[in-house]
Amino acid sequence: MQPDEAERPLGDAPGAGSAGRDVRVVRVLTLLDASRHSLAALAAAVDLAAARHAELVALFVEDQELVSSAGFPFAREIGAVSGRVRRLSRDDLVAGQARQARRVTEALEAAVAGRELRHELRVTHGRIVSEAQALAGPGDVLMLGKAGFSGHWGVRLGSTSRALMLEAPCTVIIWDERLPLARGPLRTLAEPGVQAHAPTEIPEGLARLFEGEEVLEASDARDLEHRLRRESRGALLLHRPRLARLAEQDPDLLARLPIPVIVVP
Amino acid sequence: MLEPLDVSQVYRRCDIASFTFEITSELESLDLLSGHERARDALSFGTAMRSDGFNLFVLGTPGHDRESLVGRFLAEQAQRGPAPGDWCYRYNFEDPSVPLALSLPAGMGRALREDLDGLIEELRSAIPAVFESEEYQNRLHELKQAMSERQRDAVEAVRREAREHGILLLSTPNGFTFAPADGDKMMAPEAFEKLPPEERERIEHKVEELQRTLTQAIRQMPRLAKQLRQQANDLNAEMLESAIGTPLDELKQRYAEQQGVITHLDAIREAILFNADSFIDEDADIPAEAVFSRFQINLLVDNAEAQGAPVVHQDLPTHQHLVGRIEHQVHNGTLITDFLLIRPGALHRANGGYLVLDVRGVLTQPGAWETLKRVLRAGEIRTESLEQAYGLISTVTLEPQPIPLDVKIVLLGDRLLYYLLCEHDPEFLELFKVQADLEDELDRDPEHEAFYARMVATLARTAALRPLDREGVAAVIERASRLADDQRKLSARHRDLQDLLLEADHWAGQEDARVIGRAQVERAVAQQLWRAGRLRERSHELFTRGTLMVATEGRRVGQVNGLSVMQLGETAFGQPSRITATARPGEGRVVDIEREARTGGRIHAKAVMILSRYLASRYAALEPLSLSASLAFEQSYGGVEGDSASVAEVCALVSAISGVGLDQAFAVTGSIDQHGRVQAVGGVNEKIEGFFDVCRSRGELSGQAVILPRTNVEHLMLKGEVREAIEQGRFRVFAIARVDEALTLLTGLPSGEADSDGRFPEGSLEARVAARLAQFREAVKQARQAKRGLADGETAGEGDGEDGDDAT
Repeated sequence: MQPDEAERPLGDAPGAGSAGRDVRVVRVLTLLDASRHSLAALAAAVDLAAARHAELVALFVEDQELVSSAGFPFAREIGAVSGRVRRLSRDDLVAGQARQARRVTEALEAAVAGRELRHELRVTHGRIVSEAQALAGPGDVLMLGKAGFSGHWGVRLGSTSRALMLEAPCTVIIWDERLPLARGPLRTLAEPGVQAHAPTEIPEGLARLFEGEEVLEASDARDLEHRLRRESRGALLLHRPRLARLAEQDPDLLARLPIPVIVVP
Repeated sequence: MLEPLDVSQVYRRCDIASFTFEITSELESLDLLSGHERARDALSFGTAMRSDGFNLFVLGTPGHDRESLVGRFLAEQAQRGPAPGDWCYRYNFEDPSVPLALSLPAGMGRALREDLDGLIEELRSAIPAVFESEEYQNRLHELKQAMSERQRDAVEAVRREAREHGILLLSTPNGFTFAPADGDKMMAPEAFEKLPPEERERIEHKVEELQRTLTQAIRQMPRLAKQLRQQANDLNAEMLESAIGTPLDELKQRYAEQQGVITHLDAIREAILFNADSFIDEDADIPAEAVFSRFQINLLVDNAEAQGAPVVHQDLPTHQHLVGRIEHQVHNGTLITDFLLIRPGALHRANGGYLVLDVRGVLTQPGAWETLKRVLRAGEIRTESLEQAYGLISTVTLEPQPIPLDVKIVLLGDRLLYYLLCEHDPEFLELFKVQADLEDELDRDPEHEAFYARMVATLARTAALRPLDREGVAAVIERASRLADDQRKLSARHRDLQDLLLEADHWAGQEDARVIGRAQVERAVAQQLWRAGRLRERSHELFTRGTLMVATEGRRVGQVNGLSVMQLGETAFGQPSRITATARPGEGRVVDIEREARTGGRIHAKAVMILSRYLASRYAALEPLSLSASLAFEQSYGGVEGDSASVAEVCALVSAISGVGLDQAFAVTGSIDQHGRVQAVGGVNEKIEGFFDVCRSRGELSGQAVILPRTNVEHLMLKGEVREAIEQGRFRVFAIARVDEALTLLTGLPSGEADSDGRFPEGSLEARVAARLAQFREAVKQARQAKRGLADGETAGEGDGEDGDDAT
């Protein structure tokens, strides 16, 4: 089922569905895995959904591959930080996922408590990236926590976020849970060769969350990082092709940027 | 017959003929210490001795104007001495709670402070510029990227190796796990079970190996992170060096000879490198400004403009004013301090020179005396609060490194305090070995009168007063003689003299006079006395109205006028008091009523004992003295002390014994010894003037007189009115050497000496006294016999009772 079918924007805004133009926020999606950073992204997602009067959909994916990997007699988990080898048991993994599902449910209820917000928690089985891609539609905004990037090598949300950022069919917001939501300018990157069009490419719904716009003249990843290193307010808006180029230059760039990043298709 | 004193004997005029000037502006100024040779030598000696403990104590009264007297001397000495260096405090990078003292040549402190401020200003812009530069940013970026790659590669290498052996590296919530691959996907556990046993064993074996490899790779991460930090630090140091190297080297060259400065500059270099984060990260634990402030110096003592050694007068010698203090600033409700808030004390400023302190101030300020001694003993200035020194508080504060002390302390104080300290403080003489004792008086001779004229000229010039003419100077000298209460001395207390000159100058101004003459000086004196005269006049009024009874004419038996002096603050005045005596037969005892009533002092009691022994040996040398006499000061309620009334008391007693009246026109002062010799007393001028004033206020003077000891004549410097009355014969002053002379004057009867049989010449006072004492003796004898007879009768028997009756 295409979840966004029933929620099409009212009034059929012109250009709806076309990338980066007058996109109305239909749903705010967020991926939850009960980790600190995903819960922080949840809070930001609730704020955004409430501000745009959109529905909030939280997705919790129970990773089947992981559960079945515990079926091998030699199954072990090697700590990402400690490097310690622990036995991996299927029962523990299943029980752990059940606990996570419970915590996610509670967290969602707590986050929306006291607000008039349509919301839903979807629990699915399978691989996270494919499940999230299946859920998302062009009018949606996907909120992702950021610590997954800066955390450790191969932590699940890290690779998941990376994949979704580059492949999701909707706008993706990478939120740093360590920072409070601070209003400031929405920054875009000047496209070489394109003049004066850049500001019009910002989705209207997002532009209202920020105070004005600012065009940055940054040639490469290093330059961009340098220009943003003392910023603490507002956000950076990137078009996906640009993001892909930047990620090529520096795979860890997004992890180091101090402000939220909004990726539009 | 004894003659009264001539007017020239009661006042020594100053002879202006010996003056070689017309007005004092012609005279050269002199050092006011010239009159105090002993003190000046002591000061010269004390200031020249640089050994420990040779500090000075200047003894004198406030009237000496010690402050300016010593101040001038020290200023001259200091002028010749070398200017001491500067003292600074600098940050102690190893132990910030102990700021380090830094000694520099005079004037260099100021230059260094400016240089360091300049350095900070330069670094404030140069260091951020280094970190903003493309070069730094690029190199840092490369470092970080290279490190990220190394870290990523470590995991990726494991992933690749696993893949080569048909194994997948999967992420778990807390880390990684390995699973056999089936194409790009994970092999199902069931499929694995179906594999041949060797294949399963191979996979299991390989997974174990991969687990170990991954564990090792992960455990490398902290070491890689540390390497990155180290490399980043090396990069920071390298880049910082480019910014700080040149300015620091310039300064090191400039201060090459100052080891302390070089050390500080080295410490600055290390601190910049160590705190590189402060300049990069705005939210660093230690802000960049805090690091910069550590490079400054606190210039505690700046002698850049010093001419010679310093002379510091500290008029409020509290503990803090002596050793300095550590100030605090309120920051977020907390008191904080640092080495820049150390403030100097008088000891810091006087280091290398002289510190002048009033000893009374030092003794009355809490802890100040102990602090001063401790500093002198230790030879170093330790800046700490009194609470800290005595352990009353233990909050975290600074303990600045002590500064070596080389100072000469000059204490100014009264003699009493000096001797009390000698007696009660065992350390005092160890630390203050040199006493400079100022003279209270100078000899009055032509040489000193000329010297005094120059001193007057100096004081007038210093205070920018009108000059004095010769008569004016003479009047000042005569007044100085009166202040010394001696015709052969002059007061050496400059302040009294200066006050007199200031007042005389004021009156000269009122009169539009261009020079100060005798009239203005005498007017100033008269005004001083007038201002202080309210109590004297109220006291004399009591005599005029008869409230206090004193007779100034006629004759009375057993009654004489004594003289006493009232001292109230700076002023003193004399007044008469009636002394009465009674005499009757008795056991040879003179009752001192003042002593019996406990209103008499010990010296007075002693004087009465002496005079009673004199009476006994004079009039009853070979017989028992059968006398019961009493002596009293009438209408005296405040107590009597001193022996200056003993001549008067003898006269009253002799009058009471002999029944001969005493002339009440006389007042008597003087003490006696056991042989009847009259001895000098104090306050004779006030006593004579007091009696004179009382007599005059009662009406016309008719030859009233004062009898005083001959040895007191040279102390007489009587006021003009008294001298005038003496000249006209309306008032007289008699000087006596023996008590007999007083008796002759008072009774009008001749005095006689006993012949070989102990008999006095007929008609003499002594003969009448002897006769009367003989009557007393007889009366006592009869009374004793009667008493003895009565007692015998009682023991012998009843029949003989009538004898007893006769005796009574």
